[in-house]
Amino acid sequence: MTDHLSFELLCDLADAALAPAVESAARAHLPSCEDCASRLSAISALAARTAALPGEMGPPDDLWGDIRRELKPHTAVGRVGASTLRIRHLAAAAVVIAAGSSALTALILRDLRSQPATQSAVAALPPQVPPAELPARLASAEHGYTQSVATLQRTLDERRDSLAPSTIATVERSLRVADSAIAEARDALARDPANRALAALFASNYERKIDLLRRATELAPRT
Amino acid sequence: MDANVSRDASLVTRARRGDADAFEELYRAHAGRVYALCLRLTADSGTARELTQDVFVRAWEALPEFRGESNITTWLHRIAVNAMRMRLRSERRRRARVTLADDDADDAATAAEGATAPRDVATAIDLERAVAALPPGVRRAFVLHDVEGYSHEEIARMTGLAAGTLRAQLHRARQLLIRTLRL
Repeated sequence: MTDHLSFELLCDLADAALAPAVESAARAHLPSCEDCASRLSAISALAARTAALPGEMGPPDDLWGDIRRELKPHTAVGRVGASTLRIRHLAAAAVVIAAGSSALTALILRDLRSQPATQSAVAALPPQVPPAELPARLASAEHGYTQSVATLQRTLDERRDSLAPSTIATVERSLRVADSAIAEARDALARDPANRALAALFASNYERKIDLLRRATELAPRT
Repeated sequence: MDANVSRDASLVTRARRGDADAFEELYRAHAGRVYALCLRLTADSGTARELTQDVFVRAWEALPEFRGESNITTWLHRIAVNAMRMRLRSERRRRARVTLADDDADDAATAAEGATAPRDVATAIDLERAVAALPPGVRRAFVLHDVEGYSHEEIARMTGLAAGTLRAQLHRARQLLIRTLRL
């Protein structure tokens, strides 16, 4: 063997993962090649340092308290049943939002040429962010969503004069359903923050609301 | 070791019935290894704390389905790897790339200092810093294979990645570490 050994082969040699014949050939090469011997030495030195790393590290002292607070009593059937029912209920709300979004598009397309809207219609929506506390990662995601919602809401407010009252009413109704679904998913998530299905539903509800607002703003001509 | 396995099996049985005290004993027995894994996977002490919390909350919820086919440590590690994968996926756009900045290194160093002291603490801290600076994918391969001792096949089952991909990531990690540590 005259060429240098590849780094991958040297790693396998250090890991004792080579077939006997290949290992013999590789070892025969090393005494005559300072470069390969040096690289094998480096791999072995890294392995030795890695083996000396501590296997355990003390977690923060107060971590168990935080975990304990998140543990819900569980009996297998009851827990899964309740969770499934809650998710089904919330998913049904999401379907209503989606239906509202589609209906909105149809209405807007029909009403674009109609009379101007009242000034206060879209602006008079209820507050969008309920106060239940979420874990940091979800709160951060919600912050992004609420910023998008606020931007779209401002745009829609600026263009509301171009929308017919019936369209405004549909927007309001659909947004109320969306807000209700978001709030419900949010509350459920605040009680069960590790539930991935709820987290997905929570995000999905926000995305549907944003989609609804986006369609309304895109279809409403600039004033 | 057998005594630990037997103890864990007993605690798992009680915890599956909803005994939070038994689960706390499991936590006390395994939190050190889980936290070390999370800290090395995330390279950030705050994120490692959140991830460790996620792991144990998910483990509690999944206990009724845990059948003891793998040992509890492997099971917890698998939950950690999955939780980390989901976190990376959802935060890919937001996460800043980990660098050798002092703050990040200090986190890893602080954690290492609080643990069982290796023979050469300074050398270990250098390595912890260098591991923390690896890109997430290759860091995961290195931590699971070289630090935790899982085989490529075991890691493939944990991560859903092909064994060949993991081998390439591991080799890349070793090359970067050797270069960083000037070995």
